[in-house]
Amino acid sequence: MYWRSDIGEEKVLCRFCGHLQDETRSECLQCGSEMHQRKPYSVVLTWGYAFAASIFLIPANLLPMMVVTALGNDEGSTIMEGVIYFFEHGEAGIGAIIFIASIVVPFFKLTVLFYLLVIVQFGLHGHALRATRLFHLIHFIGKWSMLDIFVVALMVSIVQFQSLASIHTGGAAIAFAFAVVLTIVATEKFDPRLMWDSVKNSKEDIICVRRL
Amino acid sequence: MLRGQTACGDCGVIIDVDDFDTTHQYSCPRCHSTFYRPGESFDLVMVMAITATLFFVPAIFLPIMTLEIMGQSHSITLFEAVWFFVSDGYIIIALIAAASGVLIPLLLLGLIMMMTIGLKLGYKPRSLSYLFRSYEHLSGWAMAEVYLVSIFVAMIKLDGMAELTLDFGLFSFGFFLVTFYITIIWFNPHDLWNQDVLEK
Repeated sequence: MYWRSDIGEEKVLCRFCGHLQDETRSECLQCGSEMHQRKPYSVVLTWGYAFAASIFLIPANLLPMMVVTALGNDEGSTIMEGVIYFFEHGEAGIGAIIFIASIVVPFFKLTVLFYLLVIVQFGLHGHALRATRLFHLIHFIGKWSMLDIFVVALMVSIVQFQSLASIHTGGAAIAFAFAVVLTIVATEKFDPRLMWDSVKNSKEDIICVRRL
Repeated sequence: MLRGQTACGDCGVIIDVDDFDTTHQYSCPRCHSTFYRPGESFDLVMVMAITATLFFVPAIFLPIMTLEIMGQSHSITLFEAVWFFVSDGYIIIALIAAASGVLIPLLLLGLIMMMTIGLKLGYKPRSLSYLFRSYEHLSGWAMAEVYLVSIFVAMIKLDGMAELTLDFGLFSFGFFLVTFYITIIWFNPHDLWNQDVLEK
């Protein structure tokens, strides 16, 4: 089947209001936003943010998420120890929610991002349909990995009984927060249209893509 | 305005929309992404946004729970929960949690109200485009529902350490969340540019 793409037709779509116009103008006639045919530096920025997020995930999983001080004893627990705690105390449901939100989702999201980038880099448009679905999925589930950060934030502010018990944030909290935010930014920077741009094999199209 | 020609924002294919109306959902023939999702009328959205904002006040200032540990009783409001963290030194986490859990949802409601009330007062959609763009930028960062689930997780974690009683603030936050999500689902910002079709 023959598809006409916006690049081939020399049109540009406003990412904000959905207005389509000729690529001669850089400002949207309808809403006045700055327009780009594809998100600028999409591939490079997505690689960068995704790599940075992967690096932050290492301390996030090894360092303690929060430190509980009770009657003079300090006890730190990492994300995985927190999950195991819930499973051991008969709260398997909550344990599963935290496991999915803080371990499965971040790793799944980064794996999908690298998969999407590989598709763009090698022009594997055969995967584009499935990849677009995955892209929507990671857009949707991404924010749930903030769950553990919020839990720590709440616990620290709630449990403050001076001498009896208090909770402090561990180093993992900040690393994990950065990892999640960077993954969300990477998803925002990624332009799924790049995966489809190699569908038509005409030479002009590919040159257009490289130019942007 | 989608009538005539548009392009899919997720795969870049050119789509001819012959008869467009604001009651149907439109998806891309090639990548199956939805590019138009019908919303409710702006009057309804405005009423819902005001309702959500009203729920916000008790949600943030009333205590969400009271805990008792070895005779000491301690009530906590969401406002304190956000505020305390700032003094703990981990300001970045405090800012991220406060912003995405509480402040951005409120900001989105403010933007929705400004847009819908602005249209009622006769402003042209074009003059509201700055609000519209801010809305589109921020809408991905609202995580109020994650925040609510995290309150429940925190409560279960605390259950072993102290006696817990739920307070009215938590229920207000739940109501705020429900009305906030109804507002977000009903509000389709792209309808700003489809006014002529909507009024028909």
